Amino acid sequence: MLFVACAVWSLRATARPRTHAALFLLLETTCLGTFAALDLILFFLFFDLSIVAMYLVISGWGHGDRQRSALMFFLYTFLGSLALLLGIIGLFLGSEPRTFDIVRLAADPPWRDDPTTAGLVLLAVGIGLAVKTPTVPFHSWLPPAHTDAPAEGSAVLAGVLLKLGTYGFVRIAMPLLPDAWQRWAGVVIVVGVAGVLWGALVALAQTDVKRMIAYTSVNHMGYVLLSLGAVGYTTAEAGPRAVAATGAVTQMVSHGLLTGALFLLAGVLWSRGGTYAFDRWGGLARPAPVLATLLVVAALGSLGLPGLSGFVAEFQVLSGSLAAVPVAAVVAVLGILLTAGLLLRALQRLLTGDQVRPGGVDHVGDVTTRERLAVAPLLALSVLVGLVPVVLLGVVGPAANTLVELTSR
Amino acid sequence: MLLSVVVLLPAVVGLVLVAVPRLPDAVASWTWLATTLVVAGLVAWTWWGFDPGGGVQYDVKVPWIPTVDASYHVASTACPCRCWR
Repeated sequence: MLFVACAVWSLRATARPRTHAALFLLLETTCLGTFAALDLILFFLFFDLSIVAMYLVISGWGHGDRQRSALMFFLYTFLGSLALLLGIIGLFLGSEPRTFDIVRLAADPPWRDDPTTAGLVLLAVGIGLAVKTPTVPFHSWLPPAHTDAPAEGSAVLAGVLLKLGTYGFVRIAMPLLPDAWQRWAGVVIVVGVAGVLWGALVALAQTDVKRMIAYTSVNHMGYVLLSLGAVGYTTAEAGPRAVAATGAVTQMVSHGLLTGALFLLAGVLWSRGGTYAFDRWGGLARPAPVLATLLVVAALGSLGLPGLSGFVAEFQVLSGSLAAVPVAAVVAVLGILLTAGLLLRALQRLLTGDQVRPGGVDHVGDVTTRERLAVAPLLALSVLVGLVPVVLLGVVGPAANTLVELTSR
Repeated sequence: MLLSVVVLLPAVVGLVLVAVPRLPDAVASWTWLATTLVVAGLVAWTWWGFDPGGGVQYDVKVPWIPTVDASYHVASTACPCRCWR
């Protein structure tokens, strides 16, 4: 879905469109492949190729200090995937008979009788996925990569590539290493809550729209980790833990839709004035009412207003984890308050007050039909999930129950 | 089979876009859009045909590096973990 939006987005206005199109199609294959793979090596192959494709997109079509950001992105996530490879080999060595097949590994989890080794393998897999997610303290590649990537690149990076990390936790770490996941669930929760608070606080201090959205991603991925950690708390009842698991998956979907839309809208600012700085823009609601409306909807969704997908996700994350880890859940609520405050402040700065435009720009055009067609479907889907969550939960719910069962073994 | 098409179609089209000499830029952009729409349609179709209680679906497994039992194995489980019921 998001890839369609990016294609619409880039219909015109891109340099070297042929290579650009080819790269994004390659990127789409790597993402779909990672999500469909049921073999560890195949998973790793697609996971790694996505890094290469994204590196080329940032360095080829980005702006600002794009070579440096792209290189940082590449080195950081590549190092992460090496850790993941190490973990995958660890899983392979623990299996009997030796196999990379995820279904067979899950049926008979490796290293059940050796907690130390299982812990180390989980550490390797966890670091690999945490870099990609990204979680505190492995998130520092994210803001520069986002800021200097083209709008459609940021949208895919935030909307799909980050999900490869969290998806990996659900697909690999939890079902294949259930004992280790239970033992180390506390660490996962601490990392998740740290991400929630750190992401929100740092986002608050940003003077740049895109960097701010990037840090809210760190915040949103923190919720996913918090609820996945809560799933590992076998002392709590299975019911709330299944709610937490459903919340985590819903959050992944919701974040993809809303943050994708936010990044595309930030791209509108760049295409009009060549800057993302807050103090260079103001009073945009008058010259660009449609842009303002879309921004408000996306931001409200992102801060968890009922009626949009963000609420369905965060409500389940918090109510699910409240039963298993009450303290962590209460602390995470602070993060919601902070995000709400900072997103509203951003809207106020950009949209209301006197008109401020970057020097040399004397007219701010509203969103074009092409931009509208790219963003509107994403927001429409978010509203659909927000109003009729059954569409999504009907499929996610049973899977969440299975995940809880598998992790509780 | 269907799922393999979904996964590999974008890359194949991408390679064609790079390989065909002197392709007009507009054609490339529209091909890109068309491909993503087709893929989204196919995904919607697999979603529609998916039975939430039915276990692993659209399963394809082809041996790849048999010595270590690594294979090209893709399937739709809609969500991870579904497949072990």
